[in-house]
Amino acid sequence: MKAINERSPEIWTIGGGKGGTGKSFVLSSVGICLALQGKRVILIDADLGGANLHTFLGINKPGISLTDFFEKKVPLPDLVVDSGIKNMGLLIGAIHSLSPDGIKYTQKLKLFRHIKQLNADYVLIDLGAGAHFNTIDTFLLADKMLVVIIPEIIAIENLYFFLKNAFFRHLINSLGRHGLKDVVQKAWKNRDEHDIKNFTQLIDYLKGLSKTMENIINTKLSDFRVYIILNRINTSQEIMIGNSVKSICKKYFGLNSSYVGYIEFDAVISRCINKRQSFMQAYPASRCAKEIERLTENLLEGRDISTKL
Amino acid sequence: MSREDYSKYLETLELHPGASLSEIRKAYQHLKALYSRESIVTLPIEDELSAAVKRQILHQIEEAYQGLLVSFEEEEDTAENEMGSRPAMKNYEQTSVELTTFTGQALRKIRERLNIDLQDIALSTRVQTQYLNDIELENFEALPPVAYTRGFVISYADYLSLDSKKVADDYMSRYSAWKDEHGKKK
Repeated sequence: MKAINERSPEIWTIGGGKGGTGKSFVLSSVGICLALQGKRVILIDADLGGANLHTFLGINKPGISLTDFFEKKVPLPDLVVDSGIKNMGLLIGAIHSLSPDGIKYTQKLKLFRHIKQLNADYVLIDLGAGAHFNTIDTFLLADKMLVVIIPEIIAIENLYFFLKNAFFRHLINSLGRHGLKDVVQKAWKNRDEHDIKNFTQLIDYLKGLSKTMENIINTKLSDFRVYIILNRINTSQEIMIGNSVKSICKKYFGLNSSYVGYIEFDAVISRCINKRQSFMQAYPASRCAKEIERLTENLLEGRDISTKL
Repeated sequence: MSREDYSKYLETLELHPGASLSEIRKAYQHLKALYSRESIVTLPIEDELSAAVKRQILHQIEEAYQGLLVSFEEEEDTAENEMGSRPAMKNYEQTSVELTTFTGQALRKIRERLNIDLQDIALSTRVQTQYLNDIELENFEALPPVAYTRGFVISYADYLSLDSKKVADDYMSRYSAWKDEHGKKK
């Protein structure tokens, strides 16, 4: 999760488990905010099964995609197309021929390496729904990991599931480097024996195995942080759901997060998407646009929303 | 209180250093509700988050809150107080339990002592600031009909963690008396 050199772009990924929470909308809007500030942005649509970021930007499906990177070895920068917005390029995931599960591990690493070498200030990567390990590995690639939830129980439930998976993947990747790759799986496989029923108990059990394990887990817990965005709220009371989720993540799972902002429900947004109009450009003075600007600022600063109001 | 405790307590209440008393109180109320009630945030892990874990978290929250109140009390010990020997902040809950008459003036004093703005209450309860002000001034003429005013008083009292039924019963008795006296204009 570290930049290779000074010129490496900062990578932001967006996930969260449930589909339809507005990940692509939020990411494209945040990208536009950054681009309008003069930052060079590349949006990558890594929703390999259902890439559609171009629709949010109101452009046609580009003829080139990540498929060409994998199959024809086209250099990644050559696949970045004009997004229609100044300072922002778009790179779309494979829409055909390549099934999402079809990428080999080495191909994935190669892609990650090339992403980190892209010439931009920010690379924003949109992920598909779900908690598949390919999705999670891309999620973990980020300097900043964003998650989007909506005030619905299913979205929050999926988020917890997604975060637990992401953290274990993060931990296992690191344990692998210490030659302890299978410890987590083994503990989980024999969970009945060790009386492990949930995430917290598994973490506690692992910490108890050895001092080394405890240190690794504590380090991994401290360098894992997600940035929560609450989308489509209907009342001002719902603003606090972000604080609540953040609290549960910390107090119950031990996971750090920042609650960077919320976006109100606005029917105009769906209308814009259906008309293939970029909302941020069509309604720059709207409340939602202002909320997105504010949360982008908070993301840049790495700080929480001020819920003092 | 040691610096370490202060930081620990603030962390428990998920606050930044230098948080005001009203922020502390709000954070406390929010977290207390979060870990003692069911919501869409806690229900998905209801099977994991055992009663014992919740109790432990609630205990930490309570300890942090009480600890922080004491720190504010230590800080403000020199501040003069119109109510004479000022009841210590930590005894505030008891003081309000002992009170039986909740005039608008008394409510305002409690609120001010807690360092809470009317705007804070308005934001949280969705009762207009103007009505909250009228409640404190006992400006009965400006207040809406009984059912609404009662609701407002209950929200107000809830926000201050007062026994809202007791407050509303007492407050509304004066409101009704005033109404009887001034005919059925309302």
